[in-house]
Amino acid sequence: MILQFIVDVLSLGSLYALFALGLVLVYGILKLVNFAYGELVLVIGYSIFLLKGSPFPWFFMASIAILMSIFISICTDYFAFRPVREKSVTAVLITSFAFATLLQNAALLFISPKPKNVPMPSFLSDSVQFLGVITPVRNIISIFVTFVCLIIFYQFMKRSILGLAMRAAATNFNMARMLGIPANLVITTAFAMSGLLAGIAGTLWMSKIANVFPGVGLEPLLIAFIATVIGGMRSVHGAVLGGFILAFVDMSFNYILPQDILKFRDVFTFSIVILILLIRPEGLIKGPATGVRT
Amino acid sequence: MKMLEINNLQVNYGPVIAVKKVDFFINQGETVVLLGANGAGKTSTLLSIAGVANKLSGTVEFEGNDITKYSPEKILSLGIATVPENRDIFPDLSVEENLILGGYIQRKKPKVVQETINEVYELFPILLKRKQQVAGTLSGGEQQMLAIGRALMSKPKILLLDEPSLGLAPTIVEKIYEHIELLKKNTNLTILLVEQHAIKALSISDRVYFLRLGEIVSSGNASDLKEKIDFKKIYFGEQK
Repeated sequence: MILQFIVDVLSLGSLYALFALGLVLVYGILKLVNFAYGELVLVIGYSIFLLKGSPFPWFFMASIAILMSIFISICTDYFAFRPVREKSVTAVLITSFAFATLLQNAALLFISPKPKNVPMPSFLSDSVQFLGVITPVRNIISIFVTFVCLIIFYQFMKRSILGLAMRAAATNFNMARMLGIPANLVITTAFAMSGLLAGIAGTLWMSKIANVFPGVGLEPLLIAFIATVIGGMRSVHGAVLGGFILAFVDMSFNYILPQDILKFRDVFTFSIVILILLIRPEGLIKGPATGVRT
Repeated sequence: MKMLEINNLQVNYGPVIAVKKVDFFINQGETVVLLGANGAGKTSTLLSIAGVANKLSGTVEFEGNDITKYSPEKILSLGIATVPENRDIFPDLSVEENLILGGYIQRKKPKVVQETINEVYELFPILLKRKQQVAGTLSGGEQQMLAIGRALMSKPKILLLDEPSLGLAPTIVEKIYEHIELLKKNTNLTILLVEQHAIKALSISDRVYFLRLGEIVSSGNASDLKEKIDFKKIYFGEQK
């Protein structure tokens, strides 16, 4: 029972953590929330849906979908952020919403307002049983993929010069530029990585819900946003931690709430979120300290 | 030979004009200091040369090229490195990582980067001892050394140094200035210094400009002026 709960929390939390990490990457550098972020899941869903008839194997279709997610994420930078980035925060807020609405309406207009089935390999839904735990294969894959992604991500941020430059830019963007680190390179890389993480998480998400509709991006955006708020907007560790905590809270209510109240689960979850924020308004992890010790 | 020349510079932050009219130049190999009280526009002048503060009007020329509209990263790549007022080291990166980032433009030549790091460690031996330490845990003086070392990593032609004495104990200020002097002797680096600590700054400078309320009010040779300057007028305004 406890082991079952742990596996459930880890598999849901791994998705939440990936979503949150992708959002916080861009926020860390630009101090702006990309509200078109959820639409990357929409891109993933429709990409796989549109490739349904093709003769390619599923993994190939998923890879193309993830490349599309990276591409659209970079487009968000070029069309929604870059033209107004230096003018005002409000402008970027509106342009990122506009970009999201544009994608949603494109799906509405050119595809369909109705949910469309997204093909998934059948083995993902098979159940496996170990140590008394019964869980679909996709959950195990989620945990494994996330684990690998996090390791690669942290190694990149720690060992590569571009990773160091991104951490520097997240702490102090102008100072990083005064060391010759090009602003546009750092920002484009952040959007590309954000697209990659959202793409991987979005594919795993699709394997769970198995259909795509124009409003599909809202929930992942909300999850990523809340997870980063809980964990601390300025810290990548915070985003990951926040993702797992949010999953823990969600899953706990799934276990303890009676069936007829379960549909109001979000009310309970958000109450907990508000409680956490009352105690730690900056989130659980504060991010890099900027204080000077003399 | 004039290395850096600033003409008619005006800098604003939104509606606030921080620098009204500033003209000065620096010759190759010189150390020039901008002196003035808080709010005189020293830091704004320096940051606008580095490309991060908004220039309302005026021109900045470096080695004969107009660099007024260049981005900060482009300006650095020409050989102008900045040590900002509050040092702005990256507190959650290690000392060595800070230095590696300082050598970002040399990243394709790892050998050069390693050599330069060794040179910095030679100049500031304390940084070698602290190289794995997270930079945010360094003392103020050590952070200042790291900020200077980081700027040197790009192998600059000119160093813009903003108030290296700020917030440091007098003995530490003494030490920092010893290091700057040593650096000048070893490398013949051109330095633009911004300071409030006039006596200390004059002791290592060739020429000096005084700023008050966003304008240059006088200038001269550092050695002539050291005794004669009416500091009261510069710092407190006209006495009635």
